[in-house]
Amino acid sequence: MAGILEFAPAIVLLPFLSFLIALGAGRYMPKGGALAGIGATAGSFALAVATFFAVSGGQTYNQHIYTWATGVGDAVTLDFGLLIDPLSAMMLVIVTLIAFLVHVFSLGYMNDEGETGLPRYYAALGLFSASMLGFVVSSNLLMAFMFFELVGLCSYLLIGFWFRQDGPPSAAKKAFLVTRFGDYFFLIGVVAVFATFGSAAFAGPDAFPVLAEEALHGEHSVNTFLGMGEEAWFTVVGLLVLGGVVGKSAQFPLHTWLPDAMEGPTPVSALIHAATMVAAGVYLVARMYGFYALTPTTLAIIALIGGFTALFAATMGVVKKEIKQVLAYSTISQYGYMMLGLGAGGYVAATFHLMTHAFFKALLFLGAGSVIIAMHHNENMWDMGGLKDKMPVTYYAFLSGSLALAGIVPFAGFWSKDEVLYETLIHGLGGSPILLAAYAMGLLAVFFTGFYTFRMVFLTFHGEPRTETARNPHGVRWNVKAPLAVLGVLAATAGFVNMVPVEKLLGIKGIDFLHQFLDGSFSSLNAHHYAEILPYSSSYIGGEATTVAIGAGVSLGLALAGAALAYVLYNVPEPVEHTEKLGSIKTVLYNNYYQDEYQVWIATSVVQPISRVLDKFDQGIVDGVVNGISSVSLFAGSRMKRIQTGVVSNYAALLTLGLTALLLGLGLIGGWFA
Amino acid sequence: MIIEALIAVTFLAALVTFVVPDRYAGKAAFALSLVPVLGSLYMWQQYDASGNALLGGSAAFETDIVWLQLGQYDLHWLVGVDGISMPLIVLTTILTTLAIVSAWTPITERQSQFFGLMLFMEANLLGVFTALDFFVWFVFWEAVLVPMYFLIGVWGGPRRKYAAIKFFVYTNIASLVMFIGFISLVFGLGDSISSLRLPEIAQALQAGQLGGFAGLSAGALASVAFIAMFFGFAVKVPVAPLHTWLPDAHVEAPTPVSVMLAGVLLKMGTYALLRFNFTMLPETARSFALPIALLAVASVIYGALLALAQQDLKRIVAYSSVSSMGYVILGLIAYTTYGVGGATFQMVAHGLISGLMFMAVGVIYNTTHTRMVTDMSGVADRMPVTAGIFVAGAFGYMGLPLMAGFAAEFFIFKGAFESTVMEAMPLFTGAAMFGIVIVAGYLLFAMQRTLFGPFEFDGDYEITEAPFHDVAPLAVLLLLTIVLGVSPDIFFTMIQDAVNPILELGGAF
Amino acid sequence: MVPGQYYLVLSAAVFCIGIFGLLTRKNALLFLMSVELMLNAANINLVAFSYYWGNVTGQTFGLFTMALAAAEVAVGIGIILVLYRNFDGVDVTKATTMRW
Repeated sequence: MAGILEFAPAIVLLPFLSFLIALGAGRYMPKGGALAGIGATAGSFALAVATFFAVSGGQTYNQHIYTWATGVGDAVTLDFGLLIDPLSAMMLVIVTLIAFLVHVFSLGYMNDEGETGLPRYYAALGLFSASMLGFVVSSNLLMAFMFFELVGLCSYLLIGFWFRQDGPPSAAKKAFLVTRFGDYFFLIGVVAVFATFGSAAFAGPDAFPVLAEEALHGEHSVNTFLGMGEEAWFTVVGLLVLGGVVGKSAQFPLHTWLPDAMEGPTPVSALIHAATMVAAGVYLVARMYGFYALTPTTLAIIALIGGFTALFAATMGVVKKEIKQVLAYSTISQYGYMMLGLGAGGYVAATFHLMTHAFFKALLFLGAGSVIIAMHHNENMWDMGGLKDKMPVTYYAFLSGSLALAGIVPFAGFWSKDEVLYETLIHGLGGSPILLAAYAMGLLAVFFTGFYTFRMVFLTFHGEPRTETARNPHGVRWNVKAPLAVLGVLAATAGFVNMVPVEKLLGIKGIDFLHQFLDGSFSSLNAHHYAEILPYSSSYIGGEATTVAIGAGVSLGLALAGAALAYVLYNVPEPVEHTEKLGSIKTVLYNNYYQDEYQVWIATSVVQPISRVLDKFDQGIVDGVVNGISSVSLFAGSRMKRIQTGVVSNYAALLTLGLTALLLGLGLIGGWFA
Repeated sequence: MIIEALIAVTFLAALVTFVVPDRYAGKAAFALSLVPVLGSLYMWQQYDASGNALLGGSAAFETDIVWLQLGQYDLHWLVGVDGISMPLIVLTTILTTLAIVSAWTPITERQSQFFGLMLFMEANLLGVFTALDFFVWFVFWEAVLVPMYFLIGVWGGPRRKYAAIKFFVYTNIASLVMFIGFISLVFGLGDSISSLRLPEIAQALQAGQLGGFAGLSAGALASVAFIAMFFGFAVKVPVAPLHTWLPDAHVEAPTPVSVMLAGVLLKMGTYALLRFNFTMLPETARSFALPIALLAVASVIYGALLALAQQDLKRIVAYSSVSSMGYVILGLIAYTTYGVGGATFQMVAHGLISGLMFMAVGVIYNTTHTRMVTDMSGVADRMPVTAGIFVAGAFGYMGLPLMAGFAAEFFIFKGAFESTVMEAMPLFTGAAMFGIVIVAGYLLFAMQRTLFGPFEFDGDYEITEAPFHDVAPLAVLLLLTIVLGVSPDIFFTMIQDAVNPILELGGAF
Repeated sequence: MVPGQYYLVLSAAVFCIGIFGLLTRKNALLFLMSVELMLNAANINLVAFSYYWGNVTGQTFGLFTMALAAAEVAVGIGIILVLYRNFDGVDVTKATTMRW
């Protein structure tokens, strides 16, 4: 196994190859190039697993692979490199697995449904996987940014896949534009990191988080700008990079693109939400956690954004009618938890949640896709009902994912979400009221999560079929069921890799495998190091075990309460909408707190009028001056030319007059008349 | 002698094309234009220059002959190539060939004259980028305007005469002001120079030989000359608010001419700014850092906002050129390797990408006979290949990584951010970078309305995929953009080599 | 011996008569005649100064001027003929079609 990490570039290149194949030859291939994609992602998955085990065995890999731009003279050289440590190895497995399953599922969702443009679909899917994998293994911030942007491009292409309709192109545009707005700050951040540290590497001798740490300890001098001190400047840089994270991970206030992105094909939604684009933001924070851990202000902001988004999105998910919309808001909310975890110093917890969420969210989306196939592409949950008996595989898989999402023990989501909340709680108790506020929001969101998750399950699968389609659903084939089965098992069991509450409560040592795993690798990139530099201290209610028990008990209780409420309201043969009871809040929730409205308002009522006014200004004033100068010249000419009467006598008279005037003038100057 | 051969062959090609019958002119011009392409590639392969041609570096393929004596000054035929001009020469020859191919469809009358003028313009452009003597350079510089005037004025749209005259008069007045500025420098140098060779002048200025002239002290003279030359070149670039000739010229010019205009002619302005203002008068440039940076940011943001308000696809791309060229100015004033080098790289990158965008708009126009965003919808349904390349090009324009535009913009941003010319450069850089959001805005809006959605078109024309020879140049440009974006080192190392001596002047970064 | 000034006075007088004719007449033929007078006024000067300085160059130029005047008349008559044909007369003030 010594050389397995040498093959790491192939993990990225295989899906890229499938992109080229699908693009170039997809139309001549059976299944529109799907097989190339499936083969490539399967290969990547195999390699990623091998890599994962190699990394578990203590190997790491940080190699320069390509010089993008050579700096001549004093200038910095910009490199591409591969960084494989436990974090990226884990992410590689997640991404390749989900990408592989999504490819397989697409056979059922796209090919079997007779879609056109499949080569384009599989090409974009391949490029999407390749970009995300490239992002995951990036060894420096610039390379990360570049693949981050490519991920954005692919999401544009895939969300807008059905470009002949009105909705998808618009949603694609919105997704790209909103994330671009975040990336604008990210790009400034990248440039600022280069300007500050002269390097943007994540690991190695000139890793910028290490340089930053040394700078704060006065061991290394860096350039700061605009007259700021080092910590203030690092906070600014951290927040700039965070802009990109907020955009891509759909955190408040740049979350508006994500629900619209449901216009894309469902397998794409699964890929975007579980493993690629949205995960990229959170992954980036985890990747450069050594930098964020140095600045308490940034951490507090991350935690606050995360906690708020978790609650905020969960409340919106409560009233949605379409199954994918519910899932979309749950994604925003769950990524809020990850941000909360990172901001609260729970690096492992957040990474853990990133992993479990990838499994159960992919599962839920693919399950929803299966339901949508069955329902002939009707996504409205009020038209469903009673699908439980018609499609048992989908139902049980979906249920597994839902339990995980709601955070019911022992499904995966419980363990990770609980750990996030636990870390927030103990660090909040350790003297950070902001974290306690974020914790409260996160805790409240648990209740809503339990509610909307089971509302969705009951409306979709339980009760009586409410339409003809639901009574007689379209069957799905193995290529839909198999990915569901795999993910269903994972959603149920993935949490066992990190049973911290069990460890703490029962005192069984050594079952926090993820903690141990993430403690390996480069000394500047492991969880242990992060714990040392974090500006938080822990404090407990009673003892450590008591705190664990209370935290887990409260969050589980809230989740169960939410689920129970959904059970009461919606697990009846003929459920009705209860939204009227919400009163005026209902309207606010339906309109997503008017977040879209104000952003659209900014675009259409502020920027567009400004640009129109500027256009008028440009045409009228700027160009007006130019044309004015020409008009003045033309006007002067048109008046001057009147002298030319065309009558010879006048010319003769003018000549004579001129001669006389000349003689007189010369005479006066020459003194002839003196 | 290869430079002379290159220019002579191109002139000869123009002459031959003038007399070829109309129906063969396009093919003949294409075939003949391959000779300069091969020539420039051969030059690139044989290229052995080091340093900056103006600052004592060795230029490649240099020829220096005295061919006239004008009073005190000898006029030299001095041509040579360094790391700044080499990429631009390659860009010029390749882009001309592709523009010629893209003209096959839209140009349906007086072909031999059209293609002859295109080649004539190429020859003069090659002269501009190789000449290192002011007199020779100025002759080529002015001579470029003549074919351009006719190309817009004869083959253009409905308001072609207005546009052509505006273009010609505006840029010509600018040239006049620039000429006055430069000549006042020459007078200020007095006896310390014996010719108008640019290296000699640049080095004399570096050696502090500039004296007073016409009642101005040396410093004041430098400032006046700098402003006059900056104005002259800024019109060509164009820098807001001197840009208004550009949208008119672009809208009226036929597609291939727009390609040349945006792709190469605008680069004359930035090339000259770099060669004259920023190389010859670096200290003056630094003292004007604030207004120049302001102009750069204004060009970027103002140009982008104007593009947002347009309904005509060509106007959108035209205004976005103003925006993109603003980045070049920002990079130049940064006086860092990445800033100035990135600015030079952006000249090439923008040449390719704006050429691609104009051609793509042209291909759509050839079929639909309209460029208005409001007139069509869902064109991607009927023209999938063109639409695909259009989308790729638009993302290139937005600065998608691994395409040339991103490399150039990133270099410029990096260089500008760490620049030491001003304390506030990071703020200016941040402000200018907002352009990347607006550019995404208007291109995405335009694409959504024209290419996507249900197919709708009111005209009487059958909308089908464009012929191969329309799409092929697009594909070539896209490929070049990607190659240059994946491996910017192709040009970037030689650019840096030529740019670094400039930074060392007057205590550079 | 006639004093030199007399020649100058004569020349000036002839020139002024020519100008007067040019300014007051409308007939193209009279124009031509007036121009001839002015030319000859110049000729008088040339010859007078030539005689005064004892240098024949002036007289040579006088001869040149005469040859020129002859050529001019030939062209002038031609123009007048065209004028007559196109404007039904020889009134110079009527032929204004070439203004702006």
